[in-house]
Amino acid sequence: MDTVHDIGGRQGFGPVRWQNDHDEKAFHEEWQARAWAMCMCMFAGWRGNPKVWTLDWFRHVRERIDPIDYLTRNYYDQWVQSLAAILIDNGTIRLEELLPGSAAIEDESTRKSGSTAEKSLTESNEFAGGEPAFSVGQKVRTKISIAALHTRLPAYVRGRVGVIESYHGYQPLADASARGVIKPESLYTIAFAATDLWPEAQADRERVFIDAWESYLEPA
Amino acid sequence: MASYDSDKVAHIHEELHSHLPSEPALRVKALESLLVERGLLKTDAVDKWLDNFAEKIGPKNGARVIAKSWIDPEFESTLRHDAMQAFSALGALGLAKGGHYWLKAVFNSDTVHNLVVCTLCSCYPVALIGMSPLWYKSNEYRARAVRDPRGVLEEFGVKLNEHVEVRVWDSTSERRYIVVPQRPAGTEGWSEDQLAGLVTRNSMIGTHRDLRQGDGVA
Repeated sequence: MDTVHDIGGRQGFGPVRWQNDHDEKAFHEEWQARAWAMCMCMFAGWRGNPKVWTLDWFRHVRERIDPIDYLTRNYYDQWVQSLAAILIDNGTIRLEELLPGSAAIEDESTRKSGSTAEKSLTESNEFAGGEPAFSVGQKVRTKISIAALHTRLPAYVRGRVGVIESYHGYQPLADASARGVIKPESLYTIAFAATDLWPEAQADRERVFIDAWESYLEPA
Repeated sequence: MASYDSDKVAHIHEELHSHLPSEPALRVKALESLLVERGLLKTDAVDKWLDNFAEKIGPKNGARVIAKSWIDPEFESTLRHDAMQAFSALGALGLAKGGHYWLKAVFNSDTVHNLVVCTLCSCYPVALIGMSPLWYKSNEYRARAVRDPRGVLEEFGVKLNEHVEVRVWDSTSERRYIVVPQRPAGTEGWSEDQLAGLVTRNSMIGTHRDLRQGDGVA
């Protein structure tokens, strides 16, 4: 899905801010540290259980934040809202329980109705196996259209020709993981000459590398 | 059970935006309190996590590994070919201990400068070298690093000669990248600890190139 998160190469952004942010200072305010740690604690409990959570689902949930909020609200604030959205979606909590003055009383009827809304995952986990379709040094073109809701093929490389720099074996395809489906697929690193990506780039000065799953690629 | 329903969570986001207090600290507190009350999070879980994190994780893990690679060619080769093995050998795995983790070390040279970014979110080797700096997660850096890396580097005070190739690594899978900066001249005979003291967090991301005494994290 082409939401605003996919900002690589977007123009008009100014200088990088906070670049002198001190090395030892991971968080600027206590709530940010707590927000991050709370998410990490919850993720740790869910890891390896795609019926409940995958990291790519979390990434996609953050991608669905309102575009203006996505660009303007604090990073950790976005994490907390995404965690809350995940917990509401899976029926663990209700929005009302987060409101000021809420008694946060367990409401059995609501929790049950939440569970009836659960959608069973009809897709089974898939593993195609087989040899990688591309070899190191081969030219490939990335696909122009990606139908998945969540994908890790950035817009700025779509339809462009690059070279397979390395092969990494099978890794769960992010596009499927974001739907709760674990589908291992060949993963490669692709090198693009900056001149094949940007009209203003000068020859032989820069290359951009991305990791890409096999289904993102076709022979060039 | 997760619905994996994209539009449903977009709607939940709208509701959360409309109804929750605008002060983020209050939102965090409300969610943490609720999760503790529900028994989904132990009372001290967040504090313990942060203590553990502060104790075991940080840029020093990376600085130690890089310093050793400067004085031990065999270790450098390990770092180049299997970075996790190099971190493991120094007991610097941090939170990646025991878990599946994937790191690639990319080496600077006289003719190559590496820069790491995550244009799609904020992927970073947190488990090994700690939380990423704020600027790494900023829209400005994410948008510009892949398109105008030299311009971004200049803002960080890094001026590259024309003949130096910039390699930008966009972290689009679960692989993570760490930049291995060059050992500065004039450090012959330095101990591993002294050398580690030169390595900065920004140099491991690629926004710092020429290391100097007094800059480092170790």
